[in-house]
Amino acid sequence: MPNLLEKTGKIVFLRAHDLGTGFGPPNDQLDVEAVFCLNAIAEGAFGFQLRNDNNLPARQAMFSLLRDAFVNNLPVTADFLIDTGKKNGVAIRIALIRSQVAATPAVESVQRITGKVMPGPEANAKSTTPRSKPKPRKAR
Amino acid sequence: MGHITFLRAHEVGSGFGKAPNFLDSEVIVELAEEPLRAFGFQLRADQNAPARTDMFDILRSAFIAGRPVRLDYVTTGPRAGEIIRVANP
Repeated sequence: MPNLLEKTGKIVFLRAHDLGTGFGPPNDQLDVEAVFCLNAIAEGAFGFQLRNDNNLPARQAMFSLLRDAFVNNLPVTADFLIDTGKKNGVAIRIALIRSQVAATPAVESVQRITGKVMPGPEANAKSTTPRSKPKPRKAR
Repeated sequence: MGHITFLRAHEVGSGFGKAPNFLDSEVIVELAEEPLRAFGFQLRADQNAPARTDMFDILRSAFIAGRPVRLDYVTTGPRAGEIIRVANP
């Protein structure tokens, strides 16, 4: 039974190839169409099938994230299934993660059944813009 | 509305989270402004696929550019929501 592992790193190799051509040596071959390598691992690669089946939209989305990560040199987190003793695994989840601190709390609105979007709580709050200074009185 | 900190695509049916916040979705999003909540939508080979693909593309471009996104969602759990609309504010 394959092990489910996770690895994070930058993509150093990204390939898409013809259906059925596979990747890797005969004893560690991946029957996949999309292949990538991360700088976090010295050897081995990950891949997944990209075929015209029910999984196609999700797999295309996974591949799009890989492309974005490669083009923008972003780290990517991949969950993959790999057999013990093998170096190549099948990726099942691809994620882009960015540490970011929220500057402002999220703006939230509530949509009722009527379809009308209600304003968020901040809409009822008083304006925070400072008042302009009062004009000086004219000298009599 | 907020900035995306986590954007994931995964295999059909693998889902995200635990009950009661389980999301039966293929795309998962987390926002910096809502760190305890996860959002998602299905991306399957059905009649919704073209629209959902475009929603995903907006999320991708927003993540890369660091732009905020506006998500309309239906609450499916205390800390989970199913996205129905994605917009650049």
